[in-house]
Amino acid sequence: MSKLSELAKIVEEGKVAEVEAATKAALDEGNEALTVLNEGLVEPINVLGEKFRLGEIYVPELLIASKGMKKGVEIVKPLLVSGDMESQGKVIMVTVAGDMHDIGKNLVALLMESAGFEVVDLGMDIEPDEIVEAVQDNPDCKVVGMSAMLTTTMYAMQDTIEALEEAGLRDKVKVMIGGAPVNQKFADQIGADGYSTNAPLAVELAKKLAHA
Amino acid sequence: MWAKNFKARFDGANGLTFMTRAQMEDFHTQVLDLLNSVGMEVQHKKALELCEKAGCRVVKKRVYFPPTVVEWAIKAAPSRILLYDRDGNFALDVSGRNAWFGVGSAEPNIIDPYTLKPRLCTEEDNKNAVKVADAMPYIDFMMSNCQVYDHPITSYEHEYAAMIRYSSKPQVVITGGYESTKNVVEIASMVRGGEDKLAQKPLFILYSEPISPLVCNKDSIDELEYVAERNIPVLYAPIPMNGATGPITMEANIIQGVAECLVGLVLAELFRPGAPFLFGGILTNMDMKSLQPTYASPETQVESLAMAEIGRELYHLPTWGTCGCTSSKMSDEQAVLEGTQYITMAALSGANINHDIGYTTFGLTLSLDYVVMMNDVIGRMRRIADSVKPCPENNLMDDIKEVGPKGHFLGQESTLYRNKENWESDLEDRYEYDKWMSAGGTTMRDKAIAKVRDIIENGELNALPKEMDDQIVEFLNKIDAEERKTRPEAFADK
Repeated sequence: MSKLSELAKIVEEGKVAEVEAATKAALDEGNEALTVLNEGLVEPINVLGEKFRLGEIYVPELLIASKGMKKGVEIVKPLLVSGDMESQGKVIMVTVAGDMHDIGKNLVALLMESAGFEVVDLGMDIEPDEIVEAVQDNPDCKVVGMSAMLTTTMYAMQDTIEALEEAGLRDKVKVMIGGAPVNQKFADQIGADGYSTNAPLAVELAKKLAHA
Repeated sequence: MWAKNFKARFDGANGLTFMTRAQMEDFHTQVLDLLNSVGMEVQHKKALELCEKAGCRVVKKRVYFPPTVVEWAIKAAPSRILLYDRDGNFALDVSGRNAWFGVGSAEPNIIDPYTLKPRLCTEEDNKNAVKVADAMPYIDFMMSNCQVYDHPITSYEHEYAAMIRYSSKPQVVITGGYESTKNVVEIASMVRGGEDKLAQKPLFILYSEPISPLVCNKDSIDELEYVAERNIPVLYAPIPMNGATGPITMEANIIQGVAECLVGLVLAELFRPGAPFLFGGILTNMDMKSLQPTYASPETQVESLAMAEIGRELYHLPTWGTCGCTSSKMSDEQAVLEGTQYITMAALSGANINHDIGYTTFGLTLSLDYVVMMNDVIGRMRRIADSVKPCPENNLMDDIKEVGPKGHFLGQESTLYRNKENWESDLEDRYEYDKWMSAGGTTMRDKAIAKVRDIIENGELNALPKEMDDQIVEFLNKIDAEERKTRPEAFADK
């Protein structure tokens, strides 16, 4: 097996501790940095992502393997020509004002990273104007993802959309929402661009919105 | 009728236990170590001050709880909660191994009783849910159900109003912070005839919860403070999900869960020493493929009930449990399997206040026909808890000797009179195939669905006197007017 194939196998198997050495070996074998990135690091994660979507593997397998991929990317990145790294786009993820629940948002953020998005996670209990500021600071941001767990905090999503409108930023980003109390009806009501019922579907939605 | 009082059951046996005493003590040591060396984030100014005054080390919002403070709180709380019904009668002895069961909670959706499809809840659903649960003989308490989507702020008060207007059973109540807690206490006090009378004869236990891992958010402590200071019972139930917001093993999740709950207890006792507190959590694993809580997996059952067992045996506190719930989307085979198994475990283990009867889709959707079927399961467990008690009245030696060899007992008076004690259900069918077919060939689920419709259409409401009911409606109108001012956009299309 070539060193490149070995690397892909190590990443897919989640052997995080072996990724660094395997990445260097794949480069030493004579492969282009871009090839090592795409075939040795990104491709095995895509394979795992598809397996997860089909219910064939568990989320920790995907997330741990992603950790391995990131270690390899750190080595390869300095060797790449700028513009080589294809990202799905940048996403800002938040749990809205007044809400301290973030496991759902964290899961979505982790899966988005595994799918190739650059994620800016602002954390929890984030006010509308902080979200506006983050959009202003990240002009390459394509999607804002908002999460809430409570009926008492979900209207902060509407406040945030209004704040983006007031700041003249509403048409610069797509807004998607999720969380136990929200639903499609609420998403339509507040003018969000999308809603998803679970984390994998959120990633699919983000891809659609980012490339719209 | 049957074993309402669990003291008499399983004479000579100890029910179900998950651990030895030594194992419980071991857990307790780990919990104390966690609270002492890592502590919990407490996002509440007054609580932080009280913790510091009590001898905790406080660094910004992080509180490190020394063992002395934790064990003081455990000893300070009462060993039992006496719950009274709406009429002021003593209803539930929340102590020991007495298992009580209630519906719940906080579902945004309901299985429509007619289309049998899930949809968002309405005010009417709130009323119907209470009506059905009130008609169930083995449902002992109500719990806040059916989040009313049309009331983004006052849903909690509407959920509470339905429980007190249409049933006299005691309640477990969910609120959303200080304001809604205050409003609920006001409604209950109206009916009791004063806040002091409500404190003397508690009608409800307030539900509050931290955020795992290890965070006490402000709203949850505001709620805790409000009721603890008024001597109204409270619970502070963490919901760490194994592998997500809690560690993966049952043992580790128990340690984290017990720690998080004990912080609630410490705060309650600091707000008011002697405050009645219901100990327990909802420990449930996250399914690592669906990324949703399972709510009724074997691990969930063990760790949640083991936590309750520690609360009872080691801390001598009344306890909180969960059962009669499922991750299935409706009252199908999976739902009945999960619900029945969990109710059986809870009844045998003896957690005191067991909620979530009727909860499907891991809490997203209430199913009233599921409530009806699980009511049967609870009834059966009560009958099982009667167990056997050899004594002259039960041994029937005279009958056995009288009938002798080759006789039968069908015509005995004892058979006639004592048969009434046996379990029967209008949901179950015990006839042979042809007879069952000719009667309609219906399943248990069919019958449960029909029963729900019948109760909704023809059942009597256990209503309050009109004057009192009007007062509550007036109160709701008042807070709804405030709600419309605060969130006019929620009512824009109405």
